[in-house]
Amino acid sequence: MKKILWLDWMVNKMLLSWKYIILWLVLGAFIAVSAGSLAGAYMGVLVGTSAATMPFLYGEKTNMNAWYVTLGISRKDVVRGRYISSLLFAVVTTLVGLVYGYLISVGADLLGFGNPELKMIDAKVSFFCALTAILFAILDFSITLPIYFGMGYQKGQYAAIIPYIIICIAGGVGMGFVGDKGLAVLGYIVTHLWWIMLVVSIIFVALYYVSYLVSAKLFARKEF
Amino acid sequence: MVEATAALKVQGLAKTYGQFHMQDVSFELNFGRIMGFVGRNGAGKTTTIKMILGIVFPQAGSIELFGKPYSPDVVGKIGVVMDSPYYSGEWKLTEVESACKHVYDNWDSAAFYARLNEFGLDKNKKVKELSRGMSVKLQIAAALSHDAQLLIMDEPTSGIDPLARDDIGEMLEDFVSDGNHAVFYSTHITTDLEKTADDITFIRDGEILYTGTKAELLTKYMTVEGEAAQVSEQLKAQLVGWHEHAGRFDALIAREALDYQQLPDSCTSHPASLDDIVVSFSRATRKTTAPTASLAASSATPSTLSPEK
Repeated sequence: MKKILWLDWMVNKMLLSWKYIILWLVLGAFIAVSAGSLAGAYMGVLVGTSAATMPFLYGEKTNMNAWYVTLGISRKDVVRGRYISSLLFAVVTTLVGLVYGYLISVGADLLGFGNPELKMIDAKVSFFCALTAILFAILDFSITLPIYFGMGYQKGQYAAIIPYIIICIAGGVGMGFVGDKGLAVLGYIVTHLWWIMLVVSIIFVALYYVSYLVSAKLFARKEF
Repeated sequence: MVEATAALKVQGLAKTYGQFHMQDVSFELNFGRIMGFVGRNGAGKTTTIKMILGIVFPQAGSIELFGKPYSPDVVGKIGVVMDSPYYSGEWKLTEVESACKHVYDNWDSAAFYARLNEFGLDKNKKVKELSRGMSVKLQIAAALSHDAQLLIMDEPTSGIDPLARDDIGEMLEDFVSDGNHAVFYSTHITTDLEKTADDITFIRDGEILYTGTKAELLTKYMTVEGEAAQVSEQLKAQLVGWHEHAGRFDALIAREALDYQQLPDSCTSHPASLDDIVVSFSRATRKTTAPTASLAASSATPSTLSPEK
């Protein structure tokens, strides 16, 4: 397991080259100043979810998966390792994004062009933002990883968009169905926010596990 | 010296890809030996290697490594050199070292960097900046730095200059000289095998034509050449890989089938090189190959199969 985590890290860290770091810092600063410090968490999770595709991209380019097999790493461990490393990377980048967003907001405020209302660092709200960002990562990985494991990156990158299109359509239909009751539903969510978050978190963790099982099955007979 | 178990034993491997069928691929490689794996493009060399490494699944047959059935544990004792390296092209050679250090249990950093120096490879170069020859050298450096017992190489010498090929050949000889290691490598360049290989396994259209010692194979065949018009049908039936050009021919004949009195005056014969044997048998289709000229040994040794072609 350590082997696959290390190798995935070696691939993921390519996103941490100066070129990319500067890009993320500038983009992160812009978002933090314009949309508030907490937006840094969402910026961070985007970096994390992008990084998760790197082992698939480079794995396919250079057939690294074949190397993993010749190292004595079982296909099951490759899948397990990638689910762990993807989530780990997303959690770390979310937290880094959150802290960075706050620092940028403070800096902007000191320089006189920040929006004090956006520089909120309420622990509860920060936790909520970080949690929703991580839940987004879990949902994204649950959908995309089986596609990448089953189809490979080249074909999978297009197929991975399809579930999101379906979610958007379903969301639209759902909103239409809720109709006038929308405000009441929103009100219910706000008043029971933490319970709902708890239930959603449990469902997403279960979803992640099911997704892992599907990926392991798809990858078990994969030839490179 | 390692016990008398084989470093690699392959028995009855089969695989089908569309129209291509591999069947009953069997051979055995002992410690202290270098085995050359020859055959034309598409014969099944890379597929066989990938099956040994667990990258591709056989539909039938078994693979034993170091006397044990295939498993992820034993496969880690193999040093692998493939057509192109599996490392990320964006990695510098120092990063390749860093990756290997964490994934090979017996990794020797000093040995790796010493090999890079020996090969003249700049450790700050990226993998994608290496030429084909350099990338092979990089893989060899890695393969020889993690205490591998068996080296499996797929076309390691193609695209490499003769001097470097010679160096690689010497390195392989050194590698097996203690009797605790073995090398299995596929190649098109049979002259390399003339120098370094102890054993030869020859695959054609997914079937093993010969597996055994190089010396035995080389003593079995003669090359005959001369004026095509003078060759009798009787003689022609015994020739393998008939090749005619500008009125002259060349072909292979089993030494035991060669009757000098049958040979026309214009024909000459000489011991066949490995290249002659591989080319002639690759040229000959299954239908046109005379049974008498089959590569299969009549008295099969444990490492020699006897399929009638």
